[in-house]
Amino acid sequence: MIQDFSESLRGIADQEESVYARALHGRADDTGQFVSTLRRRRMVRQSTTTVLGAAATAALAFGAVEGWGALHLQPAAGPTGSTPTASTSPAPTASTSPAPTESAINNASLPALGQWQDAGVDPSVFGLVTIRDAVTFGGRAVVVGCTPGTATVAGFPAWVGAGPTSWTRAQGPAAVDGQPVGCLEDLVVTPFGLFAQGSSLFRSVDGVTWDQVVLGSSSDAPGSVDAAFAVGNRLTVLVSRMSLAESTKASMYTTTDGVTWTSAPAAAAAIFDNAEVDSVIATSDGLLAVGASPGGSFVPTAAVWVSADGLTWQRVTPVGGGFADAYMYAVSTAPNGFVAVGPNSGNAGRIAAWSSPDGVTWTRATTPAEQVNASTAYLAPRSLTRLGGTVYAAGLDSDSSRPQQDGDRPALWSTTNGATWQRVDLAGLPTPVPFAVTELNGTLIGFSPAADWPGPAEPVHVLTATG
Amino acid sequence: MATWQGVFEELIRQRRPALVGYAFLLTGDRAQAEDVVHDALLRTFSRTRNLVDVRSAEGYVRKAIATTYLNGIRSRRAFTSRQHLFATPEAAPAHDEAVTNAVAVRAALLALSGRERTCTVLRFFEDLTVPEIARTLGISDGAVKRYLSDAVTRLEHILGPTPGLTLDDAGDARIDIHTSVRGAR
Repeated sequence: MIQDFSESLRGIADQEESVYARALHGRADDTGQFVSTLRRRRMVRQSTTTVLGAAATAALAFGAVEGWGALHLQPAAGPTGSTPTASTSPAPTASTSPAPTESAINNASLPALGQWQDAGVDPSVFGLVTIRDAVTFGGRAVVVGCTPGTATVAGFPAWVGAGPTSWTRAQGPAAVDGQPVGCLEDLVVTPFGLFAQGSSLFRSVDGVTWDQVVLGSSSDAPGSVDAAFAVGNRLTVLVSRMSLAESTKASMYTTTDGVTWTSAPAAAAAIFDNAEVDSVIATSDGLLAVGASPGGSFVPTAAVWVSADGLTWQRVTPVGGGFADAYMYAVSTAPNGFVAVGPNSGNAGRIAAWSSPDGVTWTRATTPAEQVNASTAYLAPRSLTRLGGTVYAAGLDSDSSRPQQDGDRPALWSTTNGATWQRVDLAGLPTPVPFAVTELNGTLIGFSPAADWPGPAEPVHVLTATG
Repeated sequence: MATWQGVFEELIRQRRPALVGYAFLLTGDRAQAEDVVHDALLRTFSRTRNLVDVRSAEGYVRKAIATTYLNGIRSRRAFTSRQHLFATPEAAPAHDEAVTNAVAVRAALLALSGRERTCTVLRFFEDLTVPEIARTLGISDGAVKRYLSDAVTRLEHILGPTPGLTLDDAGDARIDIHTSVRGAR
């Protein structure tokens, strides 16, 4: 008789493991080849920075904005050239539930860098994280973050602040399906609660206690949550599931009460098949999302999508041209409209930057900040913040010709016109640059370092400013 | 060093042979197993965000191995140098009962279709429940039950009575292979 079947399978796998381990001994280490290829391919979904738009839009729709929220300025006329068709545009209506006291910040009018002060918060409160997003909800500041490096965040990566210097850890599941939550990227305020998006979706009614939102049936989870779009009383969640090699199949789930979720028509989600949505901001006409979609096998094309309702989206950038072979990781308002940045994925190694007067027509900057030796180095801006009349981009300066421990350095660039970017000397800054920003009781609270800050772990700095 | 890179390098260093051993159960071929693992590693680390430690990353990669195998991705062999993998397995006495057993089980696995074999490995090697298998492969619970039922029937036919080759303890998705699956067709 055959021995126990599972034991037989384990025996076969163990045998093959041993054979393969012996075969590896005589081979050159190919880890570097893998890493090099991955760096070119990788569509990092960790670039979302001051993604305040969705929350701001929701807050505006419900008239719950106070203070700095009133400074939610439209930097331009918004997407007008090709207005998306809003088949199910939700008209903002009064909510019967208590309206969240959202104070959403649009960074169009944040003070210049020299007007910020370090609040002196003990960084051990946050541990080894970079703060990804910050909102004010129910009279508290709420922030979420991710772990840089290989450390695992113990517990739910969200914190609640009664003031700029008073922070406590929020309560929520530490793991989903056996995997650590590890990273929360965005916060979205709705009339029916606060939502945090990582690979999964979480909801809180007070910012303190969080529960997972299960989309689809428990036995048929739809995939990884990529983005959450809030407009009016509608929250729509973009989900992707890996299918064939590098492709993903998108689906969207939408709710108007936070309890009942319906699957959006497949046609609505199909625009995000095989695409990456990396950053979302509000415009005067809805939402603007940036990311990338394939321009060929492993060749990305930077992309911009616009939506009036978060459910029906239209892509406004072409495939190829000034968008080929690059990702848009982050988008921000700028003095003359919008700017977006990202890395080239190919051999150039330089940053890619675009500007737009209206969110619809985008122009690739022809004078990137600097040249690099593409055979060993590349630059990858990942986060944007706008302080006064200057937009700052933070990201990675990687050069494998440097000693290993110095191969990856943080980098900061700035622009005042969206077209010309300069490297910023980190040592010459008056304070760290605040990225995720919210306002609480008249005080602006910002967080540094930016998302995905590379290099040695940098403690969280809480910065404050007043208008 | 980027978040993913440290996890990736540690995973490669610590778990690569084990992943190839796992993939071999699906492919029945060492070169293909290495290809599948490489594809799965690239897929996982090209796209997945929540790679914060080796253990969770390995979970993602194992899922990707199953789906990569099923999707028949064999086109990219940029990192594969095949010759060394065709080394003859360790010689063993023909009468070694363990070897005989392994050979029989390997042959029986290869008699299954790709989906049947994948469901079988996920159930009996990874110890996943039917809903977990369905979620991993992106197919319905019913389809998983059908594949498992067919696989067990065929394996029993080839191997004869085999301890542990039963679907009665499939976790929270108990299966009556004699009624629900066939009857559902």
